[in-house]
Amino acid sequence: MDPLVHVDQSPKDELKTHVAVTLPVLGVMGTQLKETAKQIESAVVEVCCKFQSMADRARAGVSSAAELLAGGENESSASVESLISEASRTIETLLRHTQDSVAVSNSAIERIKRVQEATDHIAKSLIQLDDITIGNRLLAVNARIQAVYAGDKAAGFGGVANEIAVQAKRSAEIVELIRAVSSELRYIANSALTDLQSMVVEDQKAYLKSKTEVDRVLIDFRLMHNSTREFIARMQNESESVAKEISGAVRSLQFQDRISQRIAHVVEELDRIKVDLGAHCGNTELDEQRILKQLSESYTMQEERNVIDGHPQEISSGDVELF
Amino acid sequence: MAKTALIVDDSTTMRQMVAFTLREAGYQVVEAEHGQDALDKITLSPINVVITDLNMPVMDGFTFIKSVRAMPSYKFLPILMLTTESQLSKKEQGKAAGATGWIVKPFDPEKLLQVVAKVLP
Repeated sequence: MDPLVHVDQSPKDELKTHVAVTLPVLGVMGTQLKETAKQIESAVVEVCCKFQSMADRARAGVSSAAELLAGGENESSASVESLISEASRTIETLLRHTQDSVAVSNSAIERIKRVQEATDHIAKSLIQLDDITIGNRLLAVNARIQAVYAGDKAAGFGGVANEIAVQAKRSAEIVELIRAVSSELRYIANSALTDLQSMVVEDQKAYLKSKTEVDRVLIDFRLMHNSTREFIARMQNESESVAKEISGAVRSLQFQDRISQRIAHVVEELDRIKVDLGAHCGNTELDEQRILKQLSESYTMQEERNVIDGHPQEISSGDVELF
Repeated sequence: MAKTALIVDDSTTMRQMVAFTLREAGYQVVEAEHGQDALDKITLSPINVVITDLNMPVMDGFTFIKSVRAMPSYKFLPILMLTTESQLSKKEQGKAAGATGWIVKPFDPEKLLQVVAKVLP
């Protein structure tokens, strides 16, 4: 025999009793449905917020990278492209200065060579001056001899001869001095020439080496810059794809709105049925408590039991308990 | 200057999804939970387009549209209905109330943006 049915009940009363004890279950079902709808809405709201955040961050990332390439927000920030151009121009100016230095050194070499030629010319002239000095000395000696032959009458002539000898000696000393200065000058010119020629050779080598290195670095820099641009373009495409996928997900997530509406309609109907049936049933409070207890025991989540206990807002999801 | 859309829906998720779609496209968004809330907010800032649900508590979409159209300054304001209803009779009621267009949920974000762009003055 059904434990809910009393022995002395008529079939009609039996039905009433069955219905009466089932009514609380209808109420619980309605609340369960409402709570389920609330949980779905809450989850979808959370997903929506995350979508917004994802989209914002993707957009911000691409925007920052593009800005970095373009040169930043303010006018004073230089773009990578303009920096490469500026670096190229600066390096070209430096290389041109190096070339100009080589040209100036070559010009100095030419002038030093002319100084060397001048000192050669001076050396030749000094040999001629040596010949003249020797000639003057011979002349003085001859003049003295002639003055001795001429005797007292030519004493003045002898003085002239002495004077010529003195001048020849002085002239020889000056020639030696000029020769020494010229030699020193020649030595200095030779050293300067050697240094300058060696410097020009080194400068030219350095110029060629620097030019090669700079060209290589600029090519690498441009390649890297192009790779970065391509990467950012790919990132932009990826972001657009993500945006499209989010857009698709937004459409899919609208199921929640439809479900909520349908659940609301079902709950309204359950409430109406409960009121209608309740009007035809008597008080079965004791059995109601037992039925609700059975129902509670059949549930698998605390949230479901909370509905029966009258505090459906409490959700145990995410709780951790260590034993 | 960015155009502003007023979104009226009692569902938080629907408001969020419409707002998300419009914000991504560069619109500014004002949200309202029902018709009366929207009427309170519509005069607070310049609104260029309204997207409203039909079935809402406090004040439904039809009543809201009629109230808006009764105000002379909003006679030509584009008002789109975004609802799960697709019955012809309901659509006719919407048109009679003064709605500019009718979109059935769930909406396609790209289509929504196309329609919004089309009705904007």
